[in-house]
Amino acid sequence: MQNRFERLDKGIVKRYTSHPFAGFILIGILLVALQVIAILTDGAWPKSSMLNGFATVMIYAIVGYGFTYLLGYAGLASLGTAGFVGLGAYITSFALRNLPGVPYLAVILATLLISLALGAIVGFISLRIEGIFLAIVTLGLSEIFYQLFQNWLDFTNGPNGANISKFPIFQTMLGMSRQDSQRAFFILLVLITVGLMMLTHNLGKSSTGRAMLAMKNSSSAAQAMGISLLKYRLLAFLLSTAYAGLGGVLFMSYLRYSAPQNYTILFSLNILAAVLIGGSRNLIGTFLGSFIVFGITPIFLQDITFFRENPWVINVTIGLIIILVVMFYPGGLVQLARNIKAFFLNLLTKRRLLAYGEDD
Amino acid sequence: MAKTTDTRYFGDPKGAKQRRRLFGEIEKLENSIRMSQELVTLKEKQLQAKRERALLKRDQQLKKALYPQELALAEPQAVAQEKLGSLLPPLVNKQRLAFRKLRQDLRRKEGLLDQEGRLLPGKALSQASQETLDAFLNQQKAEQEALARRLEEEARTTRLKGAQQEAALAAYQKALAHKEESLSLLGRQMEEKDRQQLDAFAARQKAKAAKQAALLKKKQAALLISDSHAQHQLPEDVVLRLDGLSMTFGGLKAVDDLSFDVRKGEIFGLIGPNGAGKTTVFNCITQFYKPTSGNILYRTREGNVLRLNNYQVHDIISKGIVRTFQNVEVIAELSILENLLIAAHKQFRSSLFSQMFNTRRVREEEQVIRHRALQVLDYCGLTALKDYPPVGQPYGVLKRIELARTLMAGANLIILDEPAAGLNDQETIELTQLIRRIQQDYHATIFLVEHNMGLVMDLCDHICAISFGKKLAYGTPADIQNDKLVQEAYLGTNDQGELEAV
Repeated sequence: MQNRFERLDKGIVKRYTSHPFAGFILIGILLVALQVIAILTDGAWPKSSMLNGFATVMIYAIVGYGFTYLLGYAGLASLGTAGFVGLGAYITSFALRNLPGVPYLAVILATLLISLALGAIVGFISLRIEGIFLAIVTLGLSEIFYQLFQNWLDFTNGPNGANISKFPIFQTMLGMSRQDSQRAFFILLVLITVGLMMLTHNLGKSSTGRAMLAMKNSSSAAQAMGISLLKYRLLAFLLSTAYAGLGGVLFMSYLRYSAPQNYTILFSLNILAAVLIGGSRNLIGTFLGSFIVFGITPIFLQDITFFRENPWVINVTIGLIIILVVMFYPGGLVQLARNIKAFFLNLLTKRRLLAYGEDD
Repeated sequence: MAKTTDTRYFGDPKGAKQRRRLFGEIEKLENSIRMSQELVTLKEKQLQAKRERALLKRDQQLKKALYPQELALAEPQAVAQEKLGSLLPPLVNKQRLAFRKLRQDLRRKEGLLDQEGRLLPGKALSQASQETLDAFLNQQKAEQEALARRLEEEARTTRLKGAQQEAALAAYQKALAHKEESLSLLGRQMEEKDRQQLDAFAARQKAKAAKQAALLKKKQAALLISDSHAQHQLPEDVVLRLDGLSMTFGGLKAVDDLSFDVRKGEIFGLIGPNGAGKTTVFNCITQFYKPTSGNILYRTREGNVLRLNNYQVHDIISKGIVRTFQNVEVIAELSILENLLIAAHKQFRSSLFSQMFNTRRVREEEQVIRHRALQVLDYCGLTALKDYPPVGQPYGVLKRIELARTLMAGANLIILDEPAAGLNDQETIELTQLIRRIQQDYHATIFLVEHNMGLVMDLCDHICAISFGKKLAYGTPADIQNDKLVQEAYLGTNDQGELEAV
């Protein structure tokens, strides 16, 4: 039998699921499916509040991906995320209200440029020094932003909050109805989220991501290997501000309302928590973390009277989750998932042992 | 004699800045040219591997189609064997599990098991149970034999006869010949296609390299013109010169007016008692500390002389100076292979956005540098560990990773800070051999600090001894061993015998 044949390639399913983007695309497909179900059932399920909840999760996950560079790769922490998200949101509302001719893309670009410029100034000042200084400087910055949002009435409309009347692109340019544009924008959001997941993953795997990791693990080795600390710290910080600015633009465009009290230090801490819970470098984990921190309340618990009347219960629970994760699973949800898998495998071997005895 | 001008901080003369920029640009161009050359060879290898894989796959597909014909023609025994080969393993597996289950049940009945189902130590089944088990085994064996007999019987009855057999044989042979022919045709076609692709690729890379080479020539010419601006000079055979180096921390003089030369291609040792300022000297050379005064002159592999004081710490590696650390600094969150890629950081030239979109250029760059890293890992004997994180590896391996990193960076001057610290004797011997090999194979100059006097005296061509930041002695190992000042610094006495014991 000289002509025995054997199977050489692994199965098609395995080939596709082992691709690093498989998880990202799966998340995207699930989210689009939710919207499609909503269209088919004409809004009976999922309700639009639930979809808004998922949109919020996506937007904050995007902000979280930016934070991933900072916390997961460069090992820095910033408390000024809220300020940059707010900045993005307010610039969008200002531009769309007062400068009607400006295209949406130009608004996004302008927001990114302003965030980057501000981020560069802040980063350049605070990142020359080791350690906690970035957190402290950005904490101050966050407070400055908050006061600005409260008091600069022409720009932000103060405590009453800013809003825009129409969905950009779909309602303004294509002339779709309000409901249709909301649905279309949701799908656009999914696309942006999945796309940014891929870009973030690529950059993390590239020489830039490695350089940041090296810097986090050993700054002297990184320097000796030719990695400029200031450059890469600044890069991580700028990326995180750009993602935050983009998050702000999307937030304003989709939810069409924002008030200064959204952008307190609490928001920055929530982003930090979402990234920590997810496992600071894992993008799917960050998405789940952002779902736990920002999504559970509007998506599931809003309808339950007890939680609506006692919102503190949720906050306490999230606080507890953070403490537990940091204490027992410093690697985040990803580590938890791995442990659960190991637990079940262990259980299986035990049952085998009981039924069949030891292998000999 | 090559010369340079670069005094960044005091009285930067006209042209010095331009000269530094030229150095940087030339580096970039050379790197890029080397990269495109390597890319062509790598591409050729990849195409060949891909072709072989495709041919193998096609071959298997064709074989699969021929298999039933072949089976129909073969001897009954062979056919039965073949079928048994696929049917027997699952049967044996099933029987094995059934046997273990029965044995476990018997053991449980006799109370020989602990709670988790393990056999208690020193216990065995009773005679009767053992016989039951044996009978069960025999029954299973009989089942297997029955299967084999049944298969052979089947093969015999369904075998083709006479004219049918001959016709089938002819058809089979024809099909076989056709298969071979189509395979070789496919191989030729693919080869042709690959060659065209490779030629186009090589031409493209060559054109790119030629363009860059022309640019490089221009830059080098510009460098030559600016040569008249050069201030610093080094004799041809000196790689590194410390000239009156001083480093003060507050009031403490850690290094005090230290001067010595390191010659090209030698292994140079810096020794001294604890706190003598050896590591401070290293930190000054690699610009972790900016020296308070004095010059550090260095000759690159190309022969340009640089004043290192003018460069920042992260620029040093691209001049060909790579250091290791006293207490091993590896990146715990990256695999060993990726640790090497970190050392090649300066060779990655693609922009942030192309990295985000993972463009072809980024992938090519990554491939080439990964290939280099694999070669270096192979050289250092770390290939088996390449995908593991460095955490938890023995100290000897960590030291070797650091050495591999210096090679990966294409070092001209390798600075080793206590390479043998924390190693056992065997590891120290291996490391010594590796250092020697590196010196010969990579034509690198090695400059080390070490407390293990055996290693220093064994390895080094020249040694400089320092104490409290001041030079005590300079010379060959024999000179140093006999130097009165050195003995005093180490031992505080004039007893010569004791030093040799050290």
